[in-house]
Amino acid sequence: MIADEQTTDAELIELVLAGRQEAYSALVRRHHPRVMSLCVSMLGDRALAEDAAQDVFLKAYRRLRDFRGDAAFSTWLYRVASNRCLDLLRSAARRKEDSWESFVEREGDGVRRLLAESASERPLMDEDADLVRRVLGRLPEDYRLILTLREVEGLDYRELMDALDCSLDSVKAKLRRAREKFREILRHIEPSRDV
Amino acid sequence: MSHEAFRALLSEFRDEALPAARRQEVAAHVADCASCRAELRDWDRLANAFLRRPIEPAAGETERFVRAVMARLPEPEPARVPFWETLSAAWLVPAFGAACAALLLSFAPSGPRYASAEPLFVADGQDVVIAPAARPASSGLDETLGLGDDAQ
Repeated sequence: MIADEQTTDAELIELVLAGRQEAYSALVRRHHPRVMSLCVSMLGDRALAEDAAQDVFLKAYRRLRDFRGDAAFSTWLYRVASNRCLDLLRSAARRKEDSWESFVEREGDGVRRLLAESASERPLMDEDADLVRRVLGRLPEDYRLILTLREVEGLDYRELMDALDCSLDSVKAKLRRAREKFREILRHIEPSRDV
Repeated sequence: MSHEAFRALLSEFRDEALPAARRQEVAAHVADCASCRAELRDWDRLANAFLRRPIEPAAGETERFVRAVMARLPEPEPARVPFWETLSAAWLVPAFGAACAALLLSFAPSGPRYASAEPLFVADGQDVVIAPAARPASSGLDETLGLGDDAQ
């Protein structure tokens, strides 16, 4: 056994860089849930997310010598994963976006159901993932990314700066704009409200 | 501060990222402002509805994933070992022997002994006659034995 629970990420990285490739399996095992969670939240499709997550770990392996340890390895992985997800979202064939009217007509019931269940603590089920993907798809990719990193993955502002490679002011401004944009959906789903 | 100024801080307020004093100011405003309370409530509803953590992968799924990643890794690069650490007894011993041999040879005489200027023969009192045809062209032997041109 090359590593146990007490072996730190830095120690594992040192082993990998010294030629002990098998030590990388411990890093993958340890960080797989986080990377997979981000990829599923961003891409909305579990199979696509798994391919993306594999790409993330391959890229991280090739660039392991670039990891300087300024931030946590998990945050550095989030940066690699964020870039991969953004690449995939941007290179995906862009469909013409529906008008809000047709979106509400087609998805309104599902969106209202999820909003009604919003008080529950249960994790997002796979059968809802496609609907959520379509809802989040109405946001610009970078808004979607920062909201996912903050709300789903729970990164604090310092970690967001490292993961997104931007300043603190930029993190604050982008989060505020992303939330305001996200709130627009309620204006269309619940038009009687004054939001 | 104006309502809009407070509103601009709601996002940081929600993330508990404001300094304590500023946070208290915003909290006091929110307590009095229905619009700001509604905005915070909407963000909670949206996050809880659409930004929930997906189901965690099962342990078996993680192991399968680890195997898939490890199978795709490129061959490991050989570890970078400093030059001096590559020196091992396996070839250091013969190399040392060869160096000693070379050192000894460098002190050995560099030519054959007959090339020396010392005489090759010592006369024992008898006449020594060397036929002209057998004489070396310039061996110095004639002078050594007292056999110059006059002696012939």
